[in-house]
Amino acid sequence: MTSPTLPNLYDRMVEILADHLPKPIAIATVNQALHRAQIERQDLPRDKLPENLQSILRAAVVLTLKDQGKQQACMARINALAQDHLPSPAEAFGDSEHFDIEFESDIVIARTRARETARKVGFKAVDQIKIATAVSELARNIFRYVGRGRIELHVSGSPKPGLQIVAMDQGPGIPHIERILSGDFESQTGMGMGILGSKRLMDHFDVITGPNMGTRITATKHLR
Amino acid sequence: MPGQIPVIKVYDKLLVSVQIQMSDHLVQELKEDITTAIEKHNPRGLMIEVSGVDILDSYIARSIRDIAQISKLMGVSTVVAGIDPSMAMTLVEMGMMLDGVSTCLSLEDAIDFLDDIHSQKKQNLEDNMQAVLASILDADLQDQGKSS
Repeated sequence: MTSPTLPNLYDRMVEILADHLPKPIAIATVNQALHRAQIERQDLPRDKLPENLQSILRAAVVLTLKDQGKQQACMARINALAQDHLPSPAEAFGDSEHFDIEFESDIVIARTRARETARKVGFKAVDQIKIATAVSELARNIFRYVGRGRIELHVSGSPKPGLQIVAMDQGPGIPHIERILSGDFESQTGMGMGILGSKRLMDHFDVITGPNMGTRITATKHLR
Repeated sequence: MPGQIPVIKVYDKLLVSVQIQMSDHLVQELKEDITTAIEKHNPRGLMIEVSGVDILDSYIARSIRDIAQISKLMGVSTVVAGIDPSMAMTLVEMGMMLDGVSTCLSLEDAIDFLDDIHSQKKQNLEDNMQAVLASILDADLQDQGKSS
């Protein structure tokens, strides 16, 4: 998932300095800082300011801005750049991605990407793990019991911001689904555990399944 | 042919530290590697360190439980170390308890734990021996009492 609207780190550094300095000087300062830190512009990480660059920029701010209040305001914004950058959920709204589940390795890919997306949307660490785990369970069920299918991730803005997982396949459907979801059924192979587990990890869980219609599971986690 | 996750012998224990994403076949491979290593080294304990695992879903958690049970059948105690808070909360919410698996916060705790178990076993063995000796002595004394 790419967010083309998100300005890169270079532009954001320039923007911060340009609030207090003429733009050409702001650009020259950032270039100079990159040079001092021995970082090429194209090698800048996308979202997190490297530590050595942070300290050089801070020094540059002290040297170029005489006003203490401006210095501090500028410093705070530079420090914020060095924190792990989490874009506001709004930047990712409406995004969606999907993964075909066909090989065993697709399970790992799906859950890794789900965790990354959850992080970008702004979920806390524990919720990132829960979402990744739920995706892992649903993807594995598809792989094990049907062979192929698809997982979709939707970043939803309404009614509440959150992440929706849709797992679908054209398989034979899940027998005993009511008993599985009520918790009094556990198969020898552990399938019940996977579905019930992912239901417990998510805020909303909806299953449509039947012998001639395949299975479509929709699971949502809200941002808290 | 050993798999991607090394099973390392450290003195009298086996150490498995999982630092990569666990795909299902890696889990299966690990299960087989561990049983082979147990047979080869006859260790006193098995430590599985999972702080580098991306997630513990029901399959991986169940496999770890299986490994612990298999090891137990082969006379080896297993302890799992390094389950982080997020993973612990996720496992509990899923209802996936690692029943019968000993866990420790860190690898150091795991080593101490296995040493404790071992000395406990040794103590129990000595106690048993003493009890058996005592009962034999008792029986002897009774026999002597009858014959005299």
